[in-house]
Amino acid sequence: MIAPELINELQRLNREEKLEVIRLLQDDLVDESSEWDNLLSEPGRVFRNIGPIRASAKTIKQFEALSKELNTDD
Amino acid sequence: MTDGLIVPYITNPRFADDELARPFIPVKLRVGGNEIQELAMIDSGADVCVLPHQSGVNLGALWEDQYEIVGLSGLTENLESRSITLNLTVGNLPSIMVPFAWTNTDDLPVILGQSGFFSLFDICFYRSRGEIALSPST
Repeated sequence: MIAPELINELQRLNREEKLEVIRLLQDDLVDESSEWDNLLSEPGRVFRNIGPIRASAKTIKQFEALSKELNTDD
Repeated sequence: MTDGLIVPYITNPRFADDELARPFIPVKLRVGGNEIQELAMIDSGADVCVLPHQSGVNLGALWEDQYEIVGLSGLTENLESRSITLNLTVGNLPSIMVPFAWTNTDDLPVILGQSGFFSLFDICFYRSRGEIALSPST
């Protein structure tokens, strides 16, 4: 159970500080026997930031409609 | 799967020097009269296709001229991005027009995701033998 004081402290952090906490926690949770998790735990690795890529439902629908329109023979 | 392409998993030292082979494929991207070649990651976990910032610049695209996308996110950060449509060619397969989320970061490779790529290609990952099979979807 997380102490209320810690929760209060975390809520006071700005966005960049919260992201830093998330990265620190991810490092702690990495299973060292996992090849993929090893990659994610390496500082400076590009793949640390990429995925999974999530888009809004609106963007996905727009992209699919555009893709269909551009690639359908009339 | 017929009329397709078999591509090996490859190592991509530009993004990781761990000598691990991953599902990257060489692609040609074109807009207007400008064309670049890139190694793109086939990512079934990505909702959309993603273009790193410098790749768009190399294609001659202007960031300010593109339509802004809201709500694109990766594992740990929200990505500022614009919509851009590119002509994409994989090997000798027919070219397709693909909407990309052109991001303002270079901390990722070209990513081929569900909308725009998986919707137009049938893709099989044969991880055990380090190959990817692609063919235009029927």
